[in-house]
This record gives sequence, C-alpha cells and structure tokens, in this order.
Amino acid sequence: MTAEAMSDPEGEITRLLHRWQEGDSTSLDTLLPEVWAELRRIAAHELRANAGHETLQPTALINDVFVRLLGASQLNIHDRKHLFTTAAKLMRQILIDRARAQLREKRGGGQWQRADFVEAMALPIDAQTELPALDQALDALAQLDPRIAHIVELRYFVGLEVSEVARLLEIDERTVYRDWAFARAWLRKRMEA
Amino acid sequence: MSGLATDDVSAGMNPQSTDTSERFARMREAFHRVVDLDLSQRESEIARLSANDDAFEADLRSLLQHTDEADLLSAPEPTALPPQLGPFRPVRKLGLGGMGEVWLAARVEGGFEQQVAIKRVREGALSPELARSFLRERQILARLSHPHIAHLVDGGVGPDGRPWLAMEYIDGQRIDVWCEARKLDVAARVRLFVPICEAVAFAHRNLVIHRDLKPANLLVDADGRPRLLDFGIARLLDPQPGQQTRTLAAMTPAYAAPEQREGGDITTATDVYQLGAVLRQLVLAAADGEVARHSDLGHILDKALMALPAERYAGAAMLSDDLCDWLARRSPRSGIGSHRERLKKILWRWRWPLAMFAAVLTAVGSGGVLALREARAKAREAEVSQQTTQFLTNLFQGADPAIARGAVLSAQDLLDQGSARLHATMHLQTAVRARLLHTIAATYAALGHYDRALSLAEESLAARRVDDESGELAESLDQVGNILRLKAEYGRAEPVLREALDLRVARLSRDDPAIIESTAHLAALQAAKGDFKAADVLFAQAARAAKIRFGEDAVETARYLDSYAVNLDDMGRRTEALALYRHVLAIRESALGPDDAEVATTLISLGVHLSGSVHHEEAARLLERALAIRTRIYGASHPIVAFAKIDLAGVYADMGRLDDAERLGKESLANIRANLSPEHPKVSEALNMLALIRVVRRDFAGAVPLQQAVVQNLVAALGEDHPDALTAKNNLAYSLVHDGRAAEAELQLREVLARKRDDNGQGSAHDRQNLASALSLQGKHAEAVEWQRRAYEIQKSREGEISPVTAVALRELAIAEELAGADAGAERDFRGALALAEQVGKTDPIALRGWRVPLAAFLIGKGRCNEAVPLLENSLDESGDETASADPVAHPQMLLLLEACGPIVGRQPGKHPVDACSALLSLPGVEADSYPTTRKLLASRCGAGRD
Repeated sequence: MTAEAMSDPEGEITRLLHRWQEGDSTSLDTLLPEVWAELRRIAAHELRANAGHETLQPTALINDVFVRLLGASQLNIHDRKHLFTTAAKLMRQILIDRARAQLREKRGGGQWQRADFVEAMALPIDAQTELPALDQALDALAQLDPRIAHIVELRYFVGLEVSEVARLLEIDERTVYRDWAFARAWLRKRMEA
Repeated sequence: MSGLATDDVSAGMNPQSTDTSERFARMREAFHRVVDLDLSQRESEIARLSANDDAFEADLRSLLQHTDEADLLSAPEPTALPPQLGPFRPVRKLGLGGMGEVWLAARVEGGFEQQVAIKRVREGALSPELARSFLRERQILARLSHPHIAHLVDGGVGPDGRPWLAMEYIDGQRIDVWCEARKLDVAARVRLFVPICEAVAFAHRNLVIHRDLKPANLLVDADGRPRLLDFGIARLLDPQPGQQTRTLAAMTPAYAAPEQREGGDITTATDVYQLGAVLRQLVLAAADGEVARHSDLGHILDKALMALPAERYAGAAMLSDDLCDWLARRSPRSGIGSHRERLKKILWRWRWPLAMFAAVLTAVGSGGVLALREARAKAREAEVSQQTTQFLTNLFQGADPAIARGAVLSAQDLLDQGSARLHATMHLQTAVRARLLHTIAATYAALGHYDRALSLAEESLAARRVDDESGELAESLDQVGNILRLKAEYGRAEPVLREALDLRVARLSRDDPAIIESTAHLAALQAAKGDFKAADVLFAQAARAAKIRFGEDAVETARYLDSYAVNLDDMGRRTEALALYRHVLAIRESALGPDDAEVATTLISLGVHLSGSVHHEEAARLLERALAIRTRIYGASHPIVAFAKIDLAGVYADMGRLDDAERLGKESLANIRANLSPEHPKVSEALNMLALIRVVRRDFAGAVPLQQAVVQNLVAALGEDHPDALTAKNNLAYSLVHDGRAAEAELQLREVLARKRDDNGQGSAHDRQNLASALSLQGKHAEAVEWQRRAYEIQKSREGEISPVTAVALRELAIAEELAGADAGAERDFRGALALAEQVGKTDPIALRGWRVPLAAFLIGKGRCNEAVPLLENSLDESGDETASADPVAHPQMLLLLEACGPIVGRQPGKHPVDACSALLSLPGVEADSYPTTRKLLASRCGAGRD
C-alpha cells in the first residue's frame, strides 16, 4: 500500500482523504501510516535543524486527520512536544480500540490484523504484545512516573527514535536509553500472565 | 486465543515492590546504576543497593532478567580502541573472527593474573542486527558451562558503545595440528575427539546449535584437553522475544553440511555432520589410505556424513556413544584358552516373560497375600469376577487351620490349597472355574512352577473351548502358549499363540489392544528361539499398532517399545536400542513420575545396555536407582528386587568391585531360592553371576560347583540341546580346564560339539578352542591342532580374515602347533597372526602384545633370544596399569620370559627372577593361561612341580 502511495503521493492521499471523509473507514488504514511517516519526517527534520523554533505549523494532512480523529473543529498545536504527544495518545487510542473490537468479533478477518497494522506503522511494539494489557500497564506506569510513561508512549505510538525523544523532552540521551530499557523491563514483568 | 477474553486484565498482573512512586524511583535509580556496570561488578552493586531488603533485591534481579540489553545500545561513534575494557587491558590482536575482532587481554585489576580473549564488534560495523547477534552470543555462552567449552568470563559495553565479551583464553593448537605434531594413531585421535562430541551434545541439551564446527574452532590446550570455541554464529533453538533469529551465514564452506549450503533447515544433525567431517579429516590423516570399508569406524563416519539429515545420528550424544563403543572393543587378553562367554546376556532374554507376569507377581512376596485384579465393567464379567473374588476370599479366610496354626502361609501353600479346593468344588459355573484356573496358573508361572502352571492352564483352556466365549478363549490360548515358551517347548508354543492371534483378529476390531498383545507374545516366542529378525518384525508391528491405538507417548505404548528395544539390543542394533530405551524412560518418567515400578524396569534395561559399553559408572547409577525404587515399592525380600541386584552385581563385576558384586549376588540368590521354584531361570542367572565373579578372581575351584548347578538347571528346564544349556557347559569346561581337570573338560566339550547341529549360535569356535586347550593340557597335541585349525576356519569364514577373533584363532593354532612340535608351521602362523593383528590395529584398537609375546615365547624356546627380546620390550612398554588387575598373568609372564634371556639390565631395579616366579605361582590356573615356553620356565626356573 505504501509503495502505491509513494508513486503519486499527493494525488493518492487526497483520494484517500476524500474517501475517508465520505465514510470509508478502511482508507484510514492506508492514511495513518502515511501520516505517521510524515510525523517522523518532521521529528527528524527538527532534530537536524537548529533549535529555536518553538512554534510549529503541522502539514495540512496531519491537521485534517487529527481534526477528524479528535472530532474537534480545529486543532491547536502549541509546540512540537504537543504535536507528538497528541499523536501518541491518538494512536494509542486507535490501536486499543481496534484490539478490543477484534476480541469482540466472533471471526477474525475482514479488518486489518493488529500486527500488520502496527508493522505498517513501523511502530516498535513487540509482535506478541497484547495491546489492552499494555494499555493498562502504561496507565499504571504513568501513575508511578509520568515522564517514563511519556517516553514509552512517544516511542511506541509515534515510533520516534531515542535521540528524537531526548531532544523533544530535553533530557540527555543516555538517560533516555536507560529509562527506556527500564520501562520495557518493568512492562514485560507486569504483563507476564 | 490467549487468555484475554475480557477487558479486565489486571487480575493476571504481577504486583511489584515498585508500587509506589517513591519505591519506583528508587528502583529506577538502582537499575540505572547497575546497567552502567560491567557484568562482573554487578553482583556487589546489587547487594549494596538492596541493603538487606529482600523483596527489593528480588524485584531488581527480576527486572534485570527481563531487560533486553539491545535497548541500551546507543548509536555508534567511531573512536580509537580504548586502552581498557572493564578490568582488562588489550595486549595484542589475535585475529579477525566472524563477527568482529579478537584481542588477547590481561586483567589489570582484581589482584590475580588472568588472560582472556576479548571479542568485540568491528569498528564502524555496528548495526542493530550485528549488535543483537553479539549479545545473543553472550547469552548463549553464559548458558554453557562445560569443561570442554571455552567459558565466558566477563562482558559489557565499551565507552564507544560497542559491546564486548571476554572468554577464557585457550593457549593451544588446532586439533588437526596437535594430532599431526604428536603423530597420534587413529584410536588416540578418536579418544581425543569424544569429549568434543560430548561438549556439542551438552550445547544441544541447552538448546544451542553451533553451526561452525571446524578444526580452527577446536583447540587442544596445554593439558591435552580439547576445547570448543566460537559460538559466534550459533543459533538458539528458543529465540527470545525481541531477538533476531536469522543471522548472517558466515560459515566455512569446507565443513558445511548440505543443508547449510542449500539454505535448508539447520538442526542438531547439522552439527553432527560437521563433527563427522572434522573427525574424518583427523582419521584419514592417521591411517595410510582410505579407512577400510568394513571397519566399524568407517560405518560410524558414514552415518554422521549422510546427505539427508534424517539419516544421520540425531544428536552428538549418539555419535559419542558409538565412538565409545568402538574404543571399548579391545582385543582378547594375552593369555590362551580365554573363551568364556557371557551367559548372562543370553539368560537376560528371559526378562520378557517377567514383564507380562509382573502384574500378578507384584502382589506375591514371601508370605504375602494374593491381591486380586480389577474386573472389567461388563455385566457377565462382573458376575464372574464376583464369584471368583468370593472363592478366593473364602480361600484365605477359611484357610485350613491345621496348616495355618502358628505358621505363616507361603504363596505356594495358598496356591496348592487353592487348586486343591478348586478341584474338589463341583458346583461352579464353567466360566468361574476357568477364570480361577487361569489366575492360579498365572501365579504358579510367575513363581516358576511351570509344570503345575501348564496343567492348570490347559484345564482352563479346555473349559473355555467348550464355552467358547471368544475373549477368554484367546486369553487361555495366550497363557498356555507363553508357559510353553517358558518351558522352551517352542514347537508346541507356536501354533497355540498363532491360534490366539487369529482368533482375536477374526473377532475383534482392528485396533483392539488384545491383538497387539498377542502379536507381542508371538514376537517374544521368536526372540526366545533366537530368531531375532522375525521377532523384530513382529515387535515393530506391535509398537506401531500401539502408537496408533494408545498414542505415541502413552504408557501402554511404552511397554511395547521396551520389548522392541530389548530385541534390537539382542540383534546388535545397539544405538537404536539405546535411543529407544531413553525414549521409553522419558515417557514413563513423565507419565508416572520418577519412582514408578515401570521406570525401574527401563532403568535396568538402560543400565545393562550401558554396561556393555564403557559407561560402567552411569550404568551403576541407573541400576542403583532402579534397585532403590523396587526396594521401596515391593520391600527388600521381594524377588523382583533380587532380579535388579543380579544386574547391578554384573556391573560392579565389570567395574572391578568384586566384593560388592559378590555380596549382591549372594543376596539375590538367597532371595530367589526362598521365593521361586528351582527351575526358574533367575536361579541360573544368579548362580552364573556368582560363578563369573569367582572366575574373575581366578577361584576356578569355587566356580566349578556353581557352574555345574547352572548346567543342571538349564538342562532340566530347556533340554540338553538348547543353546543356552550348551553355552553353560562350555563355560563350565573353561573353569574345569583352569582347575586342572582337563579330562572332565574334554568330556563335556565333546558332548557339546556333538550336540551343536548348526553354527547359528555364538561361539561354536570357542567350544573347539576350549577342547583343544583341554587336549593340550593332557598332552594330546596332534588332535588339539586339528581342533584349532577347524576353529580358525570357522572364524575366518564368519568374521573375515582381518578381524580380532580370527587373529586370535590363528594364534591359538600356532600355539597348538608349537606344543605338537610342528615348529615351521608354528612360526609361520605366529607371524601370520601378528601381521593380521597389526592390520586390524590400523582401524580398531588392539593390544598387540597378545601376539608379540607368544611369538617371543616361541622364539625363546628355540634359543632365539635376540629376536625375542625387542618384541618383549615393546610389549612391556605397551602394557599399562589396567592390565595388572584385568590380566594378572600378562606382566609377570613377560618378565619371566625376558629374564630367561639374561639378566635385565637397567630396567626395574627392584625386580628379580623370584618375583616373577612367585607372582605367577600364586595365581590359580596359571598353567592354562601360560604359553608353552612359560610353562617350561615355570618348571625349570621356578621349581613348579608337574601335576
């Protein structure tokens, strides 16, 4: 899907957007990976560029998608941090909803399988992870240390690199690596059935 | 689906001691500190940070366990090699390995000297994939603690972000170079290689495949110990989540297995192939020319190098077992007339019937009460059973007080009473009567009273033929057939068992367990007759059917697999038998627990098998465990415990623990005599074991009466012509010869040879050789030569010219010719035999002194000392400590011969002629085991009187 989108990005995406706006929910599965790729391009660009830009103009695409998903009439993105954080929370919600819907369905198939979608999004969530369990565990983690939970969200649900997270949250990289390792270990342990 | 059917997943979660933010913060802080450290420093830091808080420490350790170290990797930055990695300072580069560079390094901290080999990822080559491989190698090595595998010492991540690991530094040579430098022969190379196979087997047990076995990865250290290195591209069979399972295939083409080259599945058989390739290279470098096709070692290599993985040894452990077997097959001892056979192994076939009657026997001990078997739940069945139960219960309750007064009733007394009463009772239903007869017959049979058992069984059969209830008729036919087999009346047994099988096949559904059982009984019959091939076909059939009916891993299936395995063993298919024993053991242990009676039975099979190889220690352990299980379940006075003792005694005897062996043998004999009939085969087995021990102690005079008893029993039970009875006679003759009773031995052996009609039994050459010995000792030399010649012809045609037994036979012939005064023929045959032995020695281990010394003795007898002495000196060099106990005649005989050629200068200053003389004279039966010249010397130099 991504390959096809690449060949005529603007046209293809516009088509998808229209279809989505007309109520075709499957086109979102194609749109979201694109949107997320766009997000990550922004993050990488920001990392390379000099610091100093405190405000950000998200692309029209992101804007549109977010607006629809959030159900808001307009989106107020204050800064980079806000953008990515919002995206992370959004994606988390989308994934959890999908996972729950799949569990309720008597027969699988028809919809995208969760694993395929996560892979299409290039998110570093382990293939065996049960998303509802992860969701609950993250909530628990956020109670104990909001910053660590934030790191996890940004990595898991936006797919940002450690260095990008470090820059975004203004923490040194080494700390982020260690916190990331710690958080993953903690989550694994917590989710052991 | 996994267990998440609802949204509420909190029930499955694990609480931790981090469940408040303060404790979470503390844990996080601790975690950060620990992961920053190198492996070797972590322990103390963990202890320090935990500060006696056990729950905290447990959680911290658990978190560390759950950590994927790849998460900690930072992006690479190119830097120069740091001067120190952990406590080690790199000294010089050792080379470039598959994954990275290898440095020799020395410890700079810690107060002791240590050299390690440090591996780390090449500069600029770090990728997440490579780093993961690296970390995986570290994890693999951490699992593998084995004396022949280079072990992991330390590891960490350098300041430049590149992970490193430190391994034991092996200062050694590649195995092929090592072998060449020392000019090792084939056997020595194989001996060196066996620990490598065991190391690989160990890795396999820990779910690791090496994949890159080659001489460069097999070093021999300064102590001569082979060590296995470089698990760089090894593959875990159980990849952890988050780890790559595919790796860069940087294998060495020359040793690659076909499936590696073609990108097929890699399994433990891949390692086997590589082991075979390396071993073949080592062996070819030693032997001049191709390894002989008929040689057993060639067969082993062929099997390891099969193109299809499924046709190779399934694992390195099996390859190692076969190599050990090959090494263990040493040639016969240097003495003459050493032709006793292992009667024990033959009698061991009798295990089969015991398995069947075990259920009845389990209830019967000395003075014990007969337990009743459970009835199947059919209406008529229930009624018959009820009546049966009633009858037997009455029997015990109303036991004749005249007999019971004060005394303890033995099982046999009960049975006798039972059958008497049964015959006296008129008003029983036919079915009930038949059932009772059947049960009592089974009990008599279990005790070994075969005649009584047979008569009752036939009565039961007759009754059931009238009634013609198919299930029971077949059961009676089976019983009669089995008892006839036990009495060795094979001709009568066969049609009866076939009828049982046919009946069941006709009237029952195809997969009925009764059919499987009948098939197995027929198989046992074939095995008892010695037709192992026919038995194999039937056992395999039964095993197959059992797998389908009960399941591959069912306990019922295991019973059939067990018998199948015993038969394989008897056929000589030892490797397959071993694998199957282990499989059966696994099934039984997992289904029944480690202390079950059936587990004990398999432990015994396995132990006896292993004692046939060099693995005496392991065999002893298994048998001791089996003995403990049986003792606990049945009590020490139960005959089934005695059966285990006999086998354990055999292993102790093989290990040289003669006192223990004798003690167990006596205990078991006493037990068996107290409980079973004198015709029971186990009586003979116990007697034979004790006789064997005495022979080993050279107490021939003591062995003779025991062996006479064995012969009597077997003749009574099996008849004069039965191969087992004839073998027992042969063994008796051996002892008689050594006890100076050559004339009696001659009579025995002539009779044996007259009775042996065909050559399908083992050892008809042995009979002739023993007869020749007996004749020689009586001065009947000419006839002795003829018998030896015939024996040699037999061996040559059966085993081939270049084989250990043929070389022995030719030597024996030469000795007979020497005694007969046929000097030219003797010398020709002595030298011919030595040449054969040397040929054999190129591919199989053989003690050449067995041929050099008799030739030397001959030459000395002819006054040709200058030719004889070098042969003797070579032989003295060759003999080690182990011969002293195994063959006490050898060493003093050599000394005596040497001294006959003049004083021994500069060699063993403490020895002088009297010592060799007194050593020899103190050994009973020494004349039979000495060469002709030695006998003369014993008379002339040592003053031995003529008999």
